[in-house]
Amino acid sequence: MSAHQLAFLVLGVLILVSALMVVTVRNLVHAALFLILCFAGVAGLYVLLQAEFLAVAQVLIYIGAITVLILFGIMLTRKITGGAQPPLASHWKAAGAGAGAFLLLLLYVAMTGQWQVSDQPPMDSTTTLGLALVTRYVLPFELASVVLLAALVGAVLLARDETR
Amino acid sequence: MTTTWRELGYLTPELVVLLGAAAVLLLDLFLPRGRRRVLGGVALVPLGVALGWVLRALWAQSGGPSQLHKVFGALLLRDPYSLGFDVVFLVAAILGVLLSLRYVEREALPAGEYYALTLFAVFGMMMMAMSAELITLFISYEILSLAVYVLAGIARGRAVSAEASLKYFLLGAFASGFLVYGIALVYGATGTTVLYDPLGQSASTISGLILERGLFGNALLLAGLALLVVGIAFKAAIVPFHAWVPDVYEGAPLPVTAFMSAGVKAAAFAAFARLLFGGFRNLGEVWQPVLWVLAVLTMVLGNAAAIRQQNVKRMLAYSSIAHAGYLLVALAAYTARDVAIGSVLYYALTYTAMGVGAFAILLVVGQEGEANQELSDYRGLASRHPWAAAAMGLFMISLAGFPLTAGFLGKFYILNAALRADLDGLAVVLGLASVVSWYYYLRVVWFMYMTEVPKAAVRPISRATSLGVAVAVAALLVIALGVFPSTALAVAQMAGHTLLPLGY
Amino acid sequence: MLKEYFPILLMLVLAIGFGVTMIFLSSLAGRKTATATKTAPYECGSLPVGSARLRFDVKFYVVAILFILFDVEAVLLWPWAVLQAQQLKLTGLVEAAVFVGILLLGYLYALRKGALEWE
Repeated sequence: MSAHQLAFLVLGVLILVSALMVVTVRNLVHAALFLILCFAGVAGLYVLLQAEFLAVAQVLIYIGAITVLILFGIMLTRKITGGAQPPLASHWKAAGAGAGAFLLLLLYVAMTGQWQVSDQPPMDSTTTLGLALVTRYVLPFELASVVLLAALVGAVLLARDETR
Repeated sequence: MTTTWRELGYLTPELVVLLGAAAVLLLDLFLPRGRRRVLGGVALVPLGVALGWVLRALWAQSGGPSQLHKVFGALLLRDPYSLGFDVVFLVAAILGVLLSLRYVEREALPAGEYYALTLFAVFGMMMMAMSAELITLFISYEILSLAVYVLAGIARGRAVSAEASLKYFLLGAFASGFLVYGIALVYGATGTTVLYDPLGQSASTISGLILERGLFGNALLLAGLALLVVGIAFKAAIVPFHAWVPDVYEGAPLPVTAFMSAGVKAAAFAAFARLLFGGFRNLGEVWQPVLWVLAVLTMVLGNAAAIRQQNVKRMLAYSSIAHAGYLLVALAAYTARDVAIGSVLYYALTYTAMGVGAFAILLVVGQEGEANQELSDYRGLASRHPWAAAAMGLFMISLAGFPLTAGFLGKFYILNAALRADLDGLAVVLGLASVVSWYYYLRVVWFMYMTEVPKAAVRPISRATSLGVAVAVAALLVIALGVFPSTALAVAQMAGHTLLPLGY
Repeated sequence: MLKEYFPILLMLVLAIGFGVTMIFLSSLAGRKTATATKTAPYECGSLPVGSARLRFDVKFYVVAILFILFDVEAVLLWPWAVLQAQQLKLTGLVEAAVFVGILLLGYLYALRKGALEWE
């Protein structure tokens, strides 16, 4: 087993176990903390795939910002702040069946589908991405800032106490 | 690959709308609060300019050969198809803003954000109709979605509005997830995100690669397509992805409901047709049966639920699901695609006119805080306010699809496409569903004309000029599309043809 | 490729190892007498006030959302920032200026609407 495979195995176990903890742990704050661990594992996977930019984005955005927002969300909510919650909602059987079916579908697809594999050697991903963003994909790049603007206006509008 | 100024010129209407949104946002920041009522008027300017540009461009092409331009490589396509859908979005938005002018003031909604987000949503829709590449499509979809989530909850004082926003957002986030997952799988199977090349210059598109590499049975590609369909079907309010519709349409402020029932649905169908008839045209045998089933489910369940409603707003919400089903019939008529795509466009425009018109009458009859939306509030409307009742009657019989109305012709063209594609069963279901819908549309007419109400219980109606203008415009559009359909239909057919492969 | 990440792995092992060792050693060497004062949570030398699980003000949430949005902006600008000047050319500069300009409008909006003020 190569170091690469070993790293993949460790990360995979880490991600799966922490994801399982997120949905089974009774304390919501703890669930959020396990989510951080899960995100970190995914960032590790990105590194293994040589997608370093994605790995850094994962750490900055998901670990650095999203989990903070989730923790704030938990703190904001009355009743939940206290502690233990029943881990299963009322429709858990139907939801579980749906999620399970989806998992099977994805497993089937991932096993049997023919992936397009590039025969080019891997490049410095961040520079390549940067070049693509200012040339071929400049439109999605600019549109992304429109998304952020619309989101900002909406968030400030809905979350602020009073309008000015 | 540099983008020239000329290429940006093809995006004039989109850029005008975007700049309009920025202008409204800036004006809102620097105008004193009392003067912010002008913002609605300001928002109408870019919409009107864009509509003028789009109509002129369509007019210039209506006689001669249609023009097709690739913008930003092949990410966007400026073709009559996108121009035709732009007309639908802009008409829906202009009517929506007209409905809002009085409403925003009366309900004390934040005007700047309201109109800016409306313009952002329109911008997203227009980009969606132009997108011929999945990443661009997704980002446009997100611009549209985020703006509409917030618009649904903009009446922060009312709990139902907040509930509508939250439900729409949570389920919408799921739908976005499906869409992105689908894009990833399709990219994994083909190695590209470009849907198709209408000029036939590049073979490395999804549509080209499916043929070239024989990817017909590739599980990755099929699963990706399925997820893409789920993501878009959610926005189009197609059963079984419709669970959010009644609550969101009922909880959102009325003008927003009017705008989103027409605009968001049209945008979803614009992307849907481009995706299926453009990128996945060679998999028609695979996706057609799926659409067949979805269309039947949507028509049956939408109508069945609409019958039971006593609240007119909720009834219109359910019936809008049924109309999504009619549009799906046209998409399923894959083998008659030379007429099917045009009929989608024509029906989207007629639905915008009659649907938004009906919501406008709801505003006329309704009072502060969205009161007076029950069927019983329409008792004796004809004797008290004959014009409002006449307009509502027109919208209702058009929605029901009576002959000589725009709604009838729209359904007729869809039926025509379905029959030419040998979808007899689907055509029968469409006919039966329409007959069922007569019951709940005509019930409103019956309440307005056949029942009387004691003088003491007579309630006042809104007489704002902007509302009157909106109702008049919508009614004129319904009449014009019903009596003189030839021009609109010819343009719709020409627009539809731009989606077909070269030399079809 | 993975070799480049060896120092990070080493750092991780050292950090975790140090923490675990210290806790283990202190549990081995320290005396365990639990008095009320000793079991109380440590809060910077002063007496702990109330529960840590308070309900937060919604104002924190606005700040967090603004943080996320500008965080995403920074991440999106990063691949642009690592490019060399000759790869970028003038168009690259203009493109980034448009990107930042659109968000500047959002910043102005947040500023004027008082989303960045605390009271």
